[in-house]
Amino acid sequence: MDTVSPHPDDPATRTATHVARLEALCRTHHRALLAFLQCRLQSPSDAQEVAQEAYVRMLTLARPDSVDDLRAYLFRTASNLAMDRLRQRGIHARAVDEVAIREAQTAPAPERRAMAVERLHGLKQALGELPPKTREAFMAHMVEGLDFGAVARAMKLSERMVRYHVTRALAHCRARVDQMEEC
Amino acid sequence: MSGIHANEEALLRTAADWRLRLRDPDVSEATLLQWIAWSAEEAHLAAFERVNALADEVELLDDASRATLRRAFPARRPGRPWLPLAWAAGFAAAAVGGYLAWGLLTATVARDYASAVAQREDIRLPDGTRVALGGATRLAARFDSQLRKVELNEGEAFFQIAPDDTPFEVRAGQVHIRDIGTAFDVRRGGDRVIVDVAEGRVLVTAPGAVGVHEAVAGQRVVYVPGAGLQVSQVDPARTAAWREQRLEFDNEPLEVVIASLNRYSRRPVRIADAGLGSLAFSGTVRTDAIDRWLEALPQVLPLRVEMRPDEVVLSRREPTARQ
Repeated sequence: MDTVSPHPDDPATRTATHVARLEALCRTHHRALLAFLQCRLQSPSDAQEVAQEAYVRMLTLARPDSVDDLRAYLFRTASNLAMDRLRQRGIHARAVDEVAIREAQTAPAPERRAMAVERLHGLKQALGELPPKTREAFMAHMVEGLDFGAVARAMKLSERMVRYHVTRALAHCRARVDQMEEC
Repeated sequence: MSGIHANEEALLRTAADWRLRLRDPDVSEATLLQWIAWSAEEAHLAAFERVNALADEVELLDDASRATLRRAFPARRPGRPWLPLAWAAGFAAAAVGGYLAWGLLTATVARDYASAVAQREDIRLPDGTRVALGGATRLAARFDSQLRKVELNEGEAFFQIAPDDTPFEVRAGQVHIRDIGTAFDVRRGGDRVIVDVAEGRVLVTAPGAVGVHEAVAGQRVVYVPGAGLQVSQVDPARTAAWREQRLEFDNEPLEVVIASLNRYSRRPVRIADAGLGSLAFSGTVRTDAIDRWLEALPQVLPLRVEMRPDEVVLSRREPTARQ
């Protein structure tokens, strides 16, 4: 008669353990993964979809044991999927220009929105408090959408300094907008 | 309190730095692992989400809102008519304050700084970088157009680096710490070096360590000769607690603890039995209550404390035979 108790080397058992482990991993990192994807995609619905897709990829990994660090692999997979999504947006934008969307593989970019009057006012005030260069870097990169290289050339600074200024400005605006809205 | 605000802004800046780093499509595996470690803390992740929400809002502003901001802060016209003014201002500041203009001059700037035992000092380097010196600490700053170099010859110092295109490097013996827009603490006891990053990132190199170690806010890098570099987590809010008269130790050999203490103790403390030096200690010592801490030490470690008029001696406690 065959033995009934599951053997640890049995592929079915291995898969079940693997799935349980991965599910735990995905749960632990869910919020960080969503934040990461939101930062890349700027769209909560896209971030959700890509996260789900990444989880599916993890669960269907052929040889999970060959992966060094499953956490890093999860974020790497999500990063690649996000890149694909951004590329599809490019295709979508071109397709819209030519008034013909037939491709299934396109995705619309997040829509531009007006900022609430009070918040815009707070942002203006916060920006006004910054040193001119810090504000200039923020305006060029965040508002005008220039990449770091272009801002660096325009301001005759290194990219490193541009990043420094943008980081400072962002932190300052966040802190001040919160403060003003609390009042 | 303003300290809370400073910590809050520091956290938001770190979060903003993460946004910029994670946007890079070629983000490295090492960076992802750092992100996983950093974001595991609830407060970190919450700050990141808040910074991101505002950044997304700004980047996705419609034309009308963008036009409002543009009107408020018009881009400066090319031609840079303000440049000669900046030069003049720089030179004036150099004459008065001794900093700001060093980058405009070709000459090397060399300056030495030192603090006495039990003395704390806040100094400003020629480039505007702020340094808090711990007790019995010696620094040598050597700046030229290629590199802003500071040698930490002895003791402990907390650096808040002034942003500049010229790289900033702290050398503590054979350990080199290069900043990437940061605040960090360096403690040196002989060849053993501890770096705590409070804000931003640093690159650390040391003999025997493979490649370059990148450490971010909330990380500690320990160099022990022969053992290379080791990275662990610390609470960035507690970085350089010595500035508030607290010396904090996490599983450190007693000889290192005593060496740190001696930079604050008016009466030198000496370990009489070599074997005691390797006992591990974790905890806080208040620099204004060193004697009290020493008196209580036999309760946690198997040693004897002898208070002499000119020194304090720690020696082995023989197991007492009990009847």
